[in-house]
Amino acid sequence: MVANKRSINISEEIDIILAVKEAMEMAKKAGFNETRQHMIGTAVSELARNIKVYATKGQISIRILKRNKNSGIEIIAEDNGPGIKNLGEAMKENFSTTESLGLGLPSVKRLMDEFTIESKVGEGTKIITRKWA
Amino acid sequence: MEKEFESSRIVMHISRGCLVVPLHKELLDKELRQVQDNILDRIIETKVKGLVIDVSGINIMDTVMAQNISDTLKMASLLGATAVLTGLKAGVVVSLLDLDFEFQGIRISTTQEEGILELEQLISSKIEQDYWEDER
Repeated sequence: MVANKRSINISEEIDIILAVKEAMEMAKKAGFNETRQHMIGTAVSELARNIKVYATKGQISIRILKRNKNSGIEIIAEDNGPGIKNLGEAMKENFSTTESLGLGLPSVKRLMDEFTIESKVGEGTKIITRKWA
Repeated sequence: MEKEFESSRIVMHISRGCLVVPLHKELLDKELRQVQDNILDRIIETKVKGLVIDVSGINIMDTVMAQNISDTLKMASLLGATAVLTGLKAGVVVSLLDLDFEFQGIRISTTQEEGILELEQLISSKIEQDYWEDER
């Protein structure tokens, strides 16, 4: 049975694949169609990758949401990594730090419906993102 | 199917003069790079003139995977194999758009069969052209 809430520790590359798989199963359970399940999976892949690349380890938490008759999914990506110095810049299109592909945060924002980010230099980053079915 | 090669759980084969690579499961980055190396080795070894990378079995394509596939197709072209990408799913296409990723300069076909057909035509017209250029 697919759970309504799940946390996956991210420290190895295989964890990214596991997090994506988990997110896809929960998105299906929440009633998302196939195309939108894939969008959610892609967003989780980008978020988990950021954790691995920039913070080396962290956590992805996935939760099925209910709001009136609507259902959705919430993805929280958390790490205690170096944090992001300039959030405004990181959310700009085509902004990159060390990698040519950048953090891909605007992409995640586009793939999902709601997106909030908190980040403190030296403390870590927390991204909360939701999508409604 | 004339010949089969296996690399990182990905089985590639040669069909009608084209190297066909069906990607159908989640691959780690290092496995992806290994598949890329193997594709390039096979092209040099077998001297095929066409490459089809079929992603109809892929549901999630993030920027790293898309970049790897795009690079592989471009490298194949540099080795003289006309390359085509086939089998993009709706979910993948929608996500690629949101990721702002473009398969620039990449030939795309809907199905593996159509991809091979397109390559056969391209390769035969190219051979004809080369022949006439040699004659002149």
